[in-house]
Amino acid sequence: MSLRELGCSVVVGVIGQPNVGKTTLFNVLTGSMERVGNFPGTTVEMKVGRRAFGGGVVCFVDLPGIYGLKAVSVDERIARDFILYGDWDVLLVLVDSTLPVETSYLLLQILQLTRRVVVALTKYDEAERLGVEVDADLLRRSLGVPFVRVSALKGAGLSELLAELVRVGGSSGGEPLRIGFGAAESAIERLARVVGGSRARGLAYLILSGDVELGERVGVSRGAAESLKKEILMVSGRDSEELLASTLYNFAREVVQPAVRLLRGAGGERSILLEVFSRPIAGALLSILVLFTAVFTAFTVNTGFPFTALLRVLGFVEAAEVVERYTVSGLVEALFDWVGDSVAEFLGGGFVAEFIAGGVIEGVAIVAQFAPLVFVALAVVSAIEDSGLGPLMAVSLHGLFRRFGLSGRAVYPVLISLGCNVPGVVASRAAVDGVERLSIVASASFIPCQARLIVLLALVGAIIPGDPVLQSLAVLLVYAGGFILYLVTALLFRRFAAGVRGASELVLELPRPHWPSLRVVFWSSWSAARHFIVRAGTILVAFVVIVWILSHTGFSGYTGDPSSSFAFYIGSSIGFVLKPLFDLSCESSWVVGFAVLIGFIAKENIISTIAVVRGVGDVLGGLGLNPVQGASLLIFFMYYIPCAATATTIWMEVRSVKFTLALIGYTAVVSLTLSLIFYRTALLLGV
Amino acid sequence: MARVKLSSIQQGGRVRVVEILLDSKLQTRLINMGLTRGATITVICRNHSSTIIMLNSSSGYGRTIALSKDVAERIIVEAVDPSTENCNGEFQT
Ligand SMILES: Nc1nc2c(ncn2[C@@H]2O[C@H](COP(=O)(O)OP(=O)(O)O)[C@@H](O)[C@H]2O)c(=O)[nH]1
Repeated sequence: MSLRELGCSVVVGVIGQPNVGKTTLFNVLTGSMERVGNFPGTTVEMKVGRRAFGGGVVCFVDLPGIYGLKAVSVDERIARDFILYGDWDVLLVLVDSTLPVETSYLLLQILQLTRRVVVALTKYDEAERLGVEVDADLLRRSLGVPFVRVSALKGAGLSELLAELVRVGGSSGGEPLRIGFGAAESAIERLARVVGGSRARGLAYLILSGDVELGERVGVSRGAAESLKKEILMVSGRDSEELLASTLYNFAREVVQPAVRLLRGAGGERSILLEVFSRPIAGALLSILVLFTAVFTAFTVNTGFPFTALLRVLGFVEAAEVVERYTVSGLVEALFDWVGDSVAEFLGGGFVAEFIAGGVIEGVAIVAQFAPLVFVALAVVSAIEDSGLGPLMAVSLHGLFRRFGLSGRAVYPVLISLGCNVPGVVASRAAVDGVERLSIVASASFIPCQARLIVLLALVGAIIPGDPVLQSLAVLLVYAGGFILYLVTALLFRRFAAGVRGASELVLELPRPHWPSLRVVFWSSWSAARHFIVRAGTILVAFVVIVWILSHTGFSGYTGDPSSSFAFYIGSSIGFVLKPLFDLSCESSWVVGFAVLIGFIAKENIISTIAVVRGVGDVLGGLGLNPVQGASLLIFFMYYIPCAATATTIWMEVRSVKFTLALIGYTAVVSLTLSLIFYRTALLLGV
Repeated sequence: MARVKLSSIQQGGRVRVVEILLDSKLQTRLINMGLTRGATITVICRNHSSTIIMLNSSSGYGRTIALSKDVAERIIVEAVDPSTENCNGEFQT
């Protein structure tokens, strides 16, 4: 769909370096974003937000946060192509008022291509707090485009910004900015003449910075570009990319610096957090602690665990029940139980009533219970991101990760996977290079997500009843195991599948740490959770319904007896394999087999499958398993591919069916092997 | 003035970038972040696996970048001579 069809009167491309406050400003300006298909030739979604202003609709297109326009990765290519060939009226370029010189670099690259630009000096409240003043009028005079001081957090400067966008959007903008390049000037000028057009110098700049693809697109052969670059090297003794960038930075210093005034003797603020996180061992331990706290905060808010277990043991059973009832999950469960019962009563028994109460409503109930969990988990993750703690954790864990061939950036997929593996796999895009990215994709699914935590707690509660200390220990062990599998798999993949030795390098900007903003956290987790819940929720409800049908129908139609249902036949074929390995009984083997199959679709369904098939809530009892068998199967359940959605995402990220299937097989073999080792060892030890 | 690897500079050291010996992709990343030849930087933290630097800027709140040891080893720097340093309040701690 074209942006004009959305009723946009002004189309604004929003661009800025990472951390300049783009997401925050985007949210304040537009409230929400819609996905309007992909950027041309990529699988990256284009997100657009709209805002009514002055009788028209201003549409904002969210472009990737990048440091410069030379295309090294997909993100830069998207931004570059949108700026050069996209259908927009004005570009909104963000410059961080607390780092005005550094963050102007991208702006200067853009201004050499077009002056249909409005600049937002972001985080102005923060700059004021730090005693940094930026003279917007002076910048406007020197660079010929409007500069507006804004604070997304305080909502300041937004109307002025919108007015400028509409004004510039309706104008021609004038000639691009002309910057002199000293020793490279002659090469730039000659190349610009070949390229032609008003933005020729800006294009020549990018081509001589090494953007080969762009060169070929505008008719400059690789050889021609190379010989000009060699010429620059001969004349100046410097690499052309480095020379051009230095010149641009010097220009930024000359033009932007004079507009910056320090009200107090600002500077040199030491960050205690930085000091602590960069300690070799303490930093890494602290990061791991933050990870665990994040998961368990999310879980405790939703379920009351482990306080409920503790209260039970201390003998306050009623108190535990009250806590359970008033946690988010408890309330949701109560609501749906009531709805289910009322509906069943209203319809009065029979296939349809049971189908609606046991299948459809149960399915929706599971999603509803799951939703707040995902939301809180995402909120905790975005609080860590927003506060600037994420990059610090990446630095502190780099020492550990590099031993496994990863860079500290590989902590992001871990962090996000603790909430959900689907965005966790997507977060592999934070990787430094292609090999690191693939090794993260290959290993991210070992990190237990919130869905698996539900299964984990249900099973642990059943296996070790009434002992919260042992229960917590078991939960911790499963998490530690997942973390180790993540690292080891990444290493194996790098060494043997990709044949690369040595670790990925780390180059990472560390934003100033600060308290997370509630608004920012709420926005980002809400938009992520909404998207996730709609997508995952639809799949989940569908599967609960399918499981219900499979376990209540057989060759002779509707059946109340599970062992003559279709589920029995499907489950038996997998159970047939598992039966001798774990000494399962005949009745339990088919249910376990069926649960494993369902687990491939979505892990959280393991528990509901057992409940639906057996019609009882007691997991172990429902399966007739002893605790050792239960624990062994738990290990198996925890580490094979978490769900169909993750498998689909893996395929979408790597676009290889072979890779995806191999990975599913690998996780199945690893988890089954580990669980068998556990089972046989326990038997040998006579547990 | 002596040229050394950035990875060998102690915490608090102020140096100027002389040369970057990295493959083109990483070099682009660093250059785009402002780590060009001639840029002055302060090492604000260093441990066995990484070096954290701050690019010096007029506001005194320069961009802070973490570099793994292998990257820092391939950035060649020289000490900043205080007498030639641009003294108009470029950077103070
Ligand atoms: N004080 C202040 N902080 C802001 C403002 N806008 C963004 N931030 C913070 O700057 C950081 C980066 O913001 P974000 O929107 O995620 O930047 P992006 O990477 O450009 O999308 C976050 O920690 C925000 O909380 C603002 O107007 N004022």
